[in-house]
Amino acid sequence: MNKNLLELIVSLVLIGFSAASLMTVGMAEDTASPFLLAQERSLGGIDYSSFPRLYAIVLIILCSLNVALLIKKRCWTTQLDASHEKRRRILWLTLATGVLTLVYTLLLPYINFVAVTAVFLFVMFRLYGRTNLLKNGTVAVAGSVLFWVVFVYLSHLTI
Amino acid sequence: MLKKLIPSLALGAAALMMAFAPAQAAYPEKPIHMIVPWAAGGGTDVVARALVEAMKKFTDVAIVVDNVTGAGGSTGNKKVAEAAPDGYTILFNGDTDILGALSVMKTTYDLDSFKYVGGVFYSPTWILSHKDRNITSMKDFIEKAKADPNKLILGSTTPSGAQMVMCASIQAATKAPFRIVPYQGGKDMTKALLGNQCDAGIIHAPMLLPEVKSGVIKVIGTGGSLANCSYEPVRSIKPLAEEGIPVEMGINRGVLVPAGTPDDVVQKLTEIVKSAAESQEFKEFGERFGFTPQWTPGDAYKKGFVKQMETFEKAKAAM
Amino acid sequence: MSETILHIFSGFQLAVTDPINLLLMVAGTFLGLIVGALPGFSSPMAIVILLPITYHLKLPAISALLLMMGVYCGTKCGGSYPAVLLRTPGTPAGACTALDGYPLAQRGESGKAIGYAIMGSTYGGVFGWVIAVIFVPVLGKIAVNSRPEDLAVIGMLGLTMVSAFVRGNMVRGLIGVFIGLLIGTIGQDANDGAARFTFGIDELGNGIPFAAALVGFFGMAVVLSDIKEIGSVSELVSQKVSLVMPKLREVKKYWKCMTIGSLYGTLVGAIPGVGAEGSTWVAYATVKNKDKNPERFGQGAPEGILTPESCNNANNGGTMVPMLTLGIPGDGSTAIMLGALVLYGVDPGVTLMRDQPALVYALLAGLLISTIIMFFIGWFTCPMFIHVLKQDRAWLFPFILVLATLGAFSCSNSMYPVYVALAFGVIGYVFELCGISVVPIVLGIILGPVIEANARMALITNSGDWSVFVSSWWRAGMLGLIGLLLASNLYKTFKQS
Repeated sequence: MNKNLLELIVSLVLIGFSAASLMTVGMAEDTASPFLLAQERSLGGIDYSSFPRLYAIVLIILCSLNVALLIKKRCWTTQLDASHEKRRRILWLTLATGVLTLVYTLLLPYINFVAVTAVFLFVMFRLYGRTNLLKNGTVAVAGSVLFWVVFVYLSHLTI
Repeated sequence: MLKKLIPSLALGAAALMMAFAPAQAAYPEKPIHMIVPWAAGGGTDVVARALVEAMKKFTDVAIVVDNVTGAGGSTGNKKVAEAAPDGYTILFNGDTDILGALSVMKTTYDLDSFKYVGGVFYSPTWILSHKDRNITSMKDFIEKAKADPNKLILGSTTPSGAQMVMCASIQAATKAPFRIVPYQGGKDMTKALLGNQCDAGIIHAPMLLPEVKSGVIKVIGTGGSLANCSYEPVRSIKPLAEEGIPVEMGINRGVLVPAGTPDDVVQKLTEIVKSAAESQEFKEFGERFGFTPQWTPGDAYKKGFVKQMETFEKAKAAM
Repeated sequence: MSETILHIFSGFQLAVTDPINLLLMVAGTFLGLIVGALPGFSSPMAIVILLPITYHLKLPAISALLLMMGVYCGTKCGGSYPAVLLRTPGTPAGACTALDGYPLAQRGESGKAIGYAIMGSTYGGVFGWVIAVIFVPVLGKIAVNSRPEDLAVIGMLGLTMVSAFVRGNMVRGLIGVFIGLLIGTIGQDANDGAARFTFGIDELGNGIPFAAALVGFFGMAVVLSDIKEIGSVSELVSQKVSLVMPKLREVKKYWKCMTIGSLYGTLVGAIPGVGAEGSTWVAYATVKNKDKNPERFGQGAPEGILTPESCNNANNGGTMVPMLTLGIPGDGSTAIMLGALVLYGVDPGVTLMRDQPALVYALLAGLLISTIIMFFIGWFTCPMFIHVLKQDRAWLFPFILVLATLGAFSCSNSMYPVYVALAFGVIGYVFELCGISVVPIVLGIILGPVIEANARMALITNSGDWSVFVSSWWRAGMLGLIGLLLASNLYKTFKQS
């Protein structure tokens, strides 16, 4: 997996999204304001679907162009740059970060803010290599309480 | 033996019952969140904050204003409709703004999702025009529109909301050939009016009252009575209904709670809100803002919703 | 003119004679710096908390507003600190500063980078004040007479600047722009309310909250991308860094880029609805494109810090114009300040300057005074910020993730923007891996709605007549300029390949 191959995949995915947009933009029709006359909504030949359609079509063209350019460059033959071992570790850390953050946000509406934030911070500190569990815990709890005071108590965020 | 125990048992039972008594018995005992479905600094938000300040004198708990914006107010309305019915999450919005959201979108809530505490601030929706357009009244506007079809522009602050319904209703009632152009919010409408970019615009009073006072903007019509306005010269402008255009539109801003809220909680909340709405402090705010506040009790407030609903239904049917 | 000078003086008098006011400005600015430096905590959030407090304390209107003004100015400077030290901006306005601020800090000159940020912010704040005060009537007229067709053209002009942020060939840059434009169409159409791409999800009806997208791109994506930096001993930590305030002659050397940035900031701030959030990027792009060695940008060029910072502080002066002459807010913070004025019984609107000139000029004086206070507080508290922000990333990153979550949540007091931020975090990370800059996407999201809503509004108000876009010499000229810029970009691309 290298940069160019990833870009190729991203471009293909974008083509898919743009095509999907073209197909689904019409779904908005029945949510338009019932109080506006039809001709008032499409003055100048443009209505609510014109701009999205334009963007989607241009995107498809541009991404196809990009795909062609990348294939011409034979993207999949480029060498990997960093050591395999290090990259796997970083990738795993990145994935773990993403998943843990997602879990944190999913749990937030159900569990007390200070508790779940403290646990999240504690886990993340350990994940990133801080081994002094006592220090981790203290900072995690202190930070969570500070956040609670500033964002929930003072700012009345209903988290 | 058992007889001796009875008093203790009774006391114990009573104590147990008190421990399990509903928390509302001591309502309010924790902060109340008042949800305002509009951006901070806007008309409804300002009235809400003034009301909250007045409410602070009649209760010990903190009352916090939460601005929950989006979807023409629907996001905030929905949040309260689905909130726990314990009286700690209340809605502050205008009747026609809620009806506007209901009449355009498919919502998970409706008028029966709420209990109505009461209305605290009524103002009609008025029609404004820049003085340089030389339009003296709605009759004048209609005549000019008939003389020059599809040229005059009547602006609305949103494409689907109370103001838009008023535009559509006026057009249906007068069959006058003017164009209805929706703007993107009160800010945009204000700019268009001040820049003289439309012939007339519909916006909730008392927005642009300072400009009316200074003469830059003229009030050419109103959807309701202006008798309570703090600016004397406009009080005599007759509502559209009395000028031959049977369209009524105004906004009565008030407090609502989720439908399942127990009656005693609603009662206590009503007392607090009523006292605040009738307080001297709120009255002074109202005068400064533009209108003398009026308290509308819960039942009458709900009736107002139902009555205004007719206008919205009629407008939709006419399209 | 002499009357204006008199008003300016009386404004200053009103602002400083009561010691409470001065105290409030200092407190507000300090608070603003901290709020700005915290990713996720923004100026409108802080001001909306202060509003009921000041109302309850029955402070006089001018005192409450001076406090808010201090916060407003402080956040624009504070937002650059984490942008420079961690590549994650504290406020949306500070995002562009990271482009050159972070590389400069990476080279071990973080003190200098922050010094430039403070200098730029101060210059912009003062410049914005000067323009606002001198040109308030002119700018007010321009703002009120701006028509949708003008705004649409300005938006398009801003979009052509995207070429400055493209790494590699133009195709990738354009892809980014159009992704942003397409994302910007999600939500209710501005002109008829049709809900595009919402698939029944109510929250999507409001579109993608811009602040959440920014937090995702520049907060979470940065964390994900920089995980490889955790544990590595970077030059930042090993060097003992203190603030290095640029000498005065450096100010003279860079006056051009700071002036351009400030002009952009003031003008864009003065015309509501033109997408002020994009002004820092557009200013940066203009300065970069004009430069003899544009490759310096993105590597730690001082202009790359000075331009956006002066732009975002000049914005404050700009937004004062529509706020005080028309009663129309330019951004969230001024919207709340206007609400405060109404609560206090001051009638904002066209009559404010005429009826309460002392208040108006006191507020403007507050802007200038707060900027100066910001300079000194920024200077003296800088070591404290640097110390905090230079801790091991293993400590900072989790905190940034929590702050990003809170910040996104505060967009609408619900979890929806948080998921938006997460999604954009992943998207930003993937793009970063491909080597594609996300800035064009950001510009597309900001300017897309501006262009579309205004272009359609222009057509609607002119009954579908397309010639409205060229009917004034100004617009025709702008469109010509846009055409020229596009042509030159295409030419450059062909030359490259």
